[in-house]
Amino acid sequence: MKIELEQRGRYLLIQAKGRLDASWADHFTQTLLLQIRKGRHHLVIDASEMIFLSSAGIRALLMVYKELNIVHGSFFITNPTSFVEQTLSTSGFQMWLGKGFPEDMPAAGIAGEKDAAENTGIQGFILKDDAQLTAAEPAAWHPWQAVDKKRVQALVFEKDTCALGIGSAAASFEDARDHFGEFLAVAGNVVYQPPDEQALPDYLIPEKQFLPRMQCIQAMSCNGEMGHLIRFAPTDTTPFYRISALLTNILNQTGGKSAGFVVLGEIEGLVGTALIRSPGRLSKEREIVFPEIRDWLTFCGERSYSHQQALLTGVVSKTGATFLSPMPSAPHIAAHIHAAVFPYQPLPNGKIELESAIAKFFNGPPPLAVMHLTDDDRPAVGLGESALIRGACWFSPLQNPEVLS
Amino acid sequence: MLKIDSVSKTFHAGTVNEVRALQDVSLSIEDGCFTGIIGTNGSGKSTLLNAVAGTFTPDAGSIHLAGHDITRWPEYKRAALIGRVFQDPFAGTAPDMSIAENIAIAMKRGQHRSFGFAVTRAFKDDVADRVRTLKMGLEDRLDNPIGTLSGGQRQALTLLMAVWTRPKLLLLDEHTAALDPKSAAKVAELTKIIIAREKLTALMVTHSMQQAVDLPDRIIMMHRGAIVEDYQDERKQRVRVPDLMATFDRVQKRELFDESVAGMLKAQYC
Repeated sequence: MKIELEQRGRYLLIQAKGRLDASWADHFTQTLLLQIRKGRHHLVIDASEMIFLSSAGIRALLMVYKELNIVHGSFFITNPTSFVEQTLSTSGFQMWLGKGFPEDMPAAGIAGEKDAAENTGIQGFILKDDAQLTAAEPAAWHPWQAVDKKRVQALVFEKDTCALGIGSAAASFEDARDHFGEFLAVAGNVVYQPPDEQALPDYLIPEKQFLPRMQCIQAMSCNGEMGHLIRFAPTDTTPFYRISALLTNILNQTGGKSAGFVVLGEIEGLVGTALIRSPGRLSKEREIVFPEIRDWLTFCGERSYSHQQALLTGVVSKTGATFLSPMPSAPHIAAHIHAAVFPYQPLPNGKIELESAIAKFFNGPPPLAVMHLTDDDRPAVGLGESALIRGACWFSPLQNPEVLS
Repeated sequence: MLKIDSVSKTFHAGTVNEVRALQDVSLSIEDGCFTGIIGTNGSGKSTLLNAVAGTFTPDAGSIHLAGHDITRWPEYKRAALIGRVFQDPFAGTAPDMSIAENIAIAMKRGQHRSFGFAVTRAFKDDVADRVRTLKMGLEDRLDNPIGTLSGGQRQALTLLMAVWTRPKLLLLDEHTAALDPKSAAKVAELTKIIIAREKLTALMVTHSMQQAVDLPDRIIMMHRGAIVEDYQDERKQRVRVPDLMATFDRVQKRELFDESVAGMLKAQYC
């Protein structure tokens, strides 16, 4: 099978020539899914030279169709050969069939818009103009203080809370002592990294009366509604968005006020660290230096998890605070960000709702990692800061930024 | 039981080519335990196998096998206790001699050998019975030169010969690496069956993560001459290939975590 792609305005015209059968179905699916991932969400398949379509081929078309449904795209097959038309009609997929091309589709050879991918650049939405978050820092452990029972707070995460810190999903301090690791909580869902190099991230999902609960030695939480949403997608000049660029955008939109935020986005590369030994094992405060630090923290060593999906939450401010570190690549910003990595799933276009978008990931394939993001500014060998390719960022200003100081 | 205690070996010591191949390696393997050794190139896994086989004498430490301190024993003397299968299927057999003659020599390993008549009818019947367990049809070809067999057939026979006298320890040095995938899978399957049937203590070096997961009871991971992971019991039962890959990744990440990373994190980890 020969697949030729031609961008015409907002439509991607796919000339599929030959047999769409079991031998070619996977190649066809992967080619089109990649285009969808790149933001091309209106597909027109010209089947005038598709001479055969098997059930494997129909399955390939169905997978593409479902993916486009998720992102609210469009899909139809035009000029089918009689065999393809009959196969699709008798199989119950006649709704995909059409004649000719969409009216707003430019003629052959005219690309139309400069970059015809959907939703390029940054789009802003105001969800609730006066929404504000209430910040709290109920637990404030700092490296490398000893941990005793008095430092631990049992926190329950409501659906209007986003939070990050170091905690353990345990019933008591005694159970939690050896298991404190990085966590983040968004819309009532919690994902945390047990402090063991071999442990997989674990997660808690709110169900019926159950609300996730963590024993926390460090926590910053933001309660309330997200008032703003930014959608970002690559352009010719901006193939990805550095975290500092997203945070600068947040601060610009909040008029420089400190803010709490949640980001879901396809990863260009994450840079971060995570505990591999529980601070609960510290019997007294002390400075932990190299090389011992390697027994307590792991560092990614390279820009990680490219093309997976990241769920980020954090707090950003123009002024530093004990909980916030200035970002070396953008010294006017101080932030504390935790990231959870999930296998890639597409996000719908446009204005999307935080709770349902997050739920889709927590109910999908399990998370791959949780980390505390860092901005690696080491001369020559530094990995830089984390960056995302496309996604959604919800945020609101803090009504009580003094909590950060 | 095999007990390796604080064994170190440095090649070309004091030169620019100095290689610290084994660094204070300690490992105990219980009787009947099948242990796999994995690691990156140059990690020391084959060196450890060679240290046990007696290819060289360690600079420090001791090796005990079945109650004997074999640290200073020469290789030929250890052969009475150790069976070995090499990567090259053509190593360890005499190509112009028949299958039966090769086996006759192997069964005298570690014993006094003379020019007496080795291949009797009774012996051949016994050989045929054992070779039949390989399910390769070789029992009907015992008089054929072993050099006429394929690599997979020859490696299967080499394996059978290595365990013929039920050694105290079986060493497998990437013994499927030179075979085509189908033969490698067959020899790997035979390895598992034979070791389980004979209840052998075995040490296998492999580059195949899948083989490490599928065959042994325990997995040792080596890096830069040291043991960095030891999967046994329920951890071994749970481990899968991606876990091993992730462990390699972690080991390499730890190497990248230098003093400059520590300095960067000190400023940013709060």
